Amino acid sequence: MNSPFSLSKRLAIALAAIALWEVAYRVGLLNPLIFGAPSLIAGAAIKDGAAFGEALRFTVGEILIATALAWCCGVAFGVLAGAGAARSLVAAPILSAAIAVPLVVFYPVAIAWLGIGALSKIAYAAAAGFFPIALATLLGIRSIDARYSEMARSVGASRTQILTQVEMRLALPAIVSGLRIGTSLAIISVVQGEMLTSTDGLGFLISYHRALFNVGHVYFGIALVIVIAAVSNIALSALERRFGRVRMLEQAMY
Amino acid sequence: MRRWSVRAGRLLTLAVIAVLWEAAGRLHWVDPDFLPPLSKVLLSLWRLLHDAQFLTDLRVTVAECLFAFVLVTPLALGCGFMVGESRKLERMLGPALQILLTVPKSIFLPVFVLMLGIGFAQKVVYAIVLTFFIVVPTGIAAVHSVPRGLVVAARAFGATRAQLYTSIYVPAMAPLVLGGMRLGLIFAVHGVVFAEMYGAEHGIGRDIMLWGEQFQMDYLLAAVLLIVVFTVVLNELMQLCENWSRSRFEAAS
Amino acid sequence: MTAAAVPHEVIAARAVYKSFGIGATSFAALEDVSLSVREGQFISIVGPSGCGKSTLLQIIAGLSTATRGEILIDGEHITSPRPDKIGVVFQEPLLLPWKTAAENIEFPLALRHEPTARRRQRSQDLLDLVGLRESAQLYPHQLSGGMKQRVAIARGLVRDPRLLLMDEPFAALDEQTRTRMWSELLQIWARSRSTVLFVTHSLIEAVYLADVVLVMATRPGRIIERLPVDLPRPRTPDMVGSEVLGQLRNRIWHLIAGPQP
Repeated sequence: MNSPFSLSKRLAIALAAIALWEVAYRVGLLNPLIFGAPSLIAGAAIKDGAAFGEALRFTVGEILIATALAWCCGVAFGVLAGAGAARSLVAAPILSAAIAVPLVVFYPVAIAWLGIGALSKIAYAAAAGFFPIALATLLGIRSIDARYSEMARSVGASRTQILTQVEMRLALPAIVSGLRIGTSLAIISVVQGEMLTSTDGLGFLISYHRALFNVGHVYFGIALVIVIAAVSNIALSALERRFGRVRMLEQAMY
Repeated sequence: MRRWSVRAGRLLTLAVIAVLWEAAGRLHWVDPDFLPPLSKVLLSLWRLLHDAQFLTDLRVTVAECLFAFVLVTPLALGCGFMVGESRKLERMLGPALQILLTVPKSIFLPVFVLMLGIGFAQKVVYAIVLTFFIVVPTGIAAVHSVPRGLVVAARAFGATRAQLYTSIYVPAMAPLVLGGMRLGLIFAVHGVVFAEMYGAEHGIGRDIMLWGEQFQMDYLLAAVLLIVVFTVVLNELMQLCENWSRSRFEAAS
Repeated sequence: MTAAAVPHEVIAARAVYKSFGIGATSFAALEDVSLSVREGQFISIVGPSGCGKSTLLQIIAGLSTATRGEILIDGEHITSPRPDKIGVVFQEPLLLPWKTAAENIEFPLALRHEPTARRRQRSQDLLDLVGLRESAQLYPHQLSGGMKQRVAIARGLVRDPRLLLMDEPFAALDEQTRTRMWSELLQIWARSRSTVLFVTHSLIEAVYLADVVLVMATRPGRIIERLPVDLPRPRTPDMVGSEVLGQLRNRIWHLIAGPQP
C-alpha cells in the first residue's frame, strides 16, 4: 500500500519502458522475433483488430461461465464438506492432492468427451478453479471460532441460519482469497486449452500467429490476455479488501 | 481411534471411485469407448510400462522436470532470501513481483517456442521461468519467518555464525523452504507437461495429446492415471517432510 | 412482597448428573446437583476451576443435555435452547463484527423475521437500558471491552426472557472496568427485573452481586453450600470492603480450599 511511486509516476515509467522497447527494436538491439515491438503490436491491432475482438469475446465468455461454475460448485462443496469434522478430515487432503496434480493432463480427456469447442475448455477450467475454491472454503469454515455458532444457537438460530448468517460470513475472507486463486487458475486454464486444441479464442489466435511468425499478432494476443487477467485481479482485490476487513474486526473482538 | 477412521474414510473414498469406474464401463452406464473400465486401463498401463517408446518418453519428461526443479529451486529461493534480507530491495522489487505474479505466464509459451524451438532446453527454460516467480515469495516469507527475538538473544549469548544458522535459521526456515520446494515441483511438472502437450518430439505430454486425438482412451487414461498417482505421491511425501520440519521447529523453540 | 403473592420458582434443577467420556475414561462433571431459583432473584454460582459451573450453566441454557436429572424453567423441561425464556451472556461478547451494536442486539429478533420497526424500537430501548444510546451505530471494533459486554447483555435481554444466564461475563475485563460493570449490571437488573444466574470464579464478585451464593466443589462437581448474602440493596462499591462481605468471602474460601467433605 505504501508505494514510493504515485499513479502518474508509474504511468510515466510504463510509457518510458514502452518507448525504450520500441527504440531497442528499431536499433536492432532486440530480436523482434523473440521480443516483438510496440509498433508491430499496434500494426497487428489495426490490421486484425476485429478478429481479435471476436476471439476476446469468445475467450471471455468461456472464462465467465467456467468461473461461475467453479465459484458455485467450489463454495457449495466447501461449505458442505466443512460443516462436519469427520467429513472435512476426509475431504481436505483429497482436495489438496488434486491441486498438486497437473490438471492439464485431463484436458485431452475433456477434448475426447466434449469436443474441441467451448464446452471442453469450460469443463476443464471449471474443474481447475473448483479445487482451490473448495479447499479454501472448507478450511475457512473449519477455522471459525465455534463460540460464535454456540452464541447463535443460544439466541435461537436454526442450523441453516447459523451456517448462512454466521459461519459463512465469518469464513468469507478465506473464501474470497480462495475465489481469487480459483479465478486466476480458471483464466489460465481456458487460455491453455485454447492454445492446445481449439478453433477459436485468444489462445488459439496466439498459437496460430506463432506458426506464421507474426510476432506482432502474438504479442497483441498476449497483451489482451494480460488485460483480462489484470481486470479480474483488480476486481477480486477489491472484493478481498471489502471482506478482508472482517479479519481486522475479528481481531478487535477480544 | 479417530485417526484410523479418517484414514479408513479416505481409503474408502478411493475404493468407491475405483469400483464406480470399473462398473461404469462394464455395466455400460457410459460408453466404454469413452471411459474404459479401470481394469482395462490398468492393463494398458502395464503394457505401456513395458513399451520402449513410452519408457523413453517417460525418461525425457522426468529428466526435464528434474532439471527444471533442481535449477530453479536454489535460484528462486536464493533470490527470495536476498530480497527478504534487504528491506530496500523488497520495497523496490515487491510491487514488480506482485504484478509479475498476476500475469499468466503460460501465455508466453509460444514466445519460448519461437526462441528455442521445441526441444529439451526449451521445456526446461520455460518451466524454470514459470516456477521462478512462484517460489521467490516463499523464499522471502522464509526469511521473514525467522524470529528476530531469538536471533538477538542467541547473539547476546555469544553464538557463532555457524551455531546461529544450524540452531535458529535452518529450523525456522525449513518448513517454508520445503513448502517452496513442493510448490516448485508442482509448477515445474505442470510447466513441463504443458509445454510437451503444446509441442514436442518426446515426452508424456506429447503422448497423451496424440492418444487423445486418436481416441485411444485406454492408453490416455493409463498415462493420466500414472501421472496423477506419481504427482500425488510426491506431493504427499514432501508434505510429510514439511510437517515434520514444522513440528521439529516448534518443539525446539 | 405482599402476602398474597407466592414467589414463583423460575428455575428448578433436580438431581442433575453429567458425565463425559465412556467406560473407563468417563468422569462425572456434575453429580446430583439440585437448585431452585425464585423470580427476580440474583443467584451467583462460584467454585474452583473445573467444578462444572460452566457445564451446569450450559445445561440450564439448553446448549448441552444432562446425562441424568432434569431442568425445569417455569415448569417446562429444558433440553434445547429456549431463546424465548433464556438469555445467555458468555465470557466473550461474541458480537458479530459486521453488524452495528444495534444490529447485534436485534440479531435474535431478525432470526425470527420480526418486523423492522419493532426490532428498531426494541434495540433502542435496550441501548437505553444499558446506557449505550449514542453507540447504536458503532461497530464492535469501535467499542471498548466493557461496552461490548453491555451490548451482549442487551442482546441477552432483547426477547425479555424470564432468565438471564451469565457465564463469567466479566472475566476478560480489567479490574476497574470490572468494578464499573458490577454497578452497571446491578442497575440493569434492577430496571429489567429479570432473574439472573451468574457464574464466576471470583469470590468477591459472587458475593457482591448476588442475593444467594451457591458454592460448588470439584471432582465431582456438586453444590456444597447455599449462602444468603446479607447486604442491603442497592449495593455500593464501598460494600466490597465491608466486614459482612469479607466474612462471607472467607467462608466461601474455606469451603472451597479447605478439606473436602
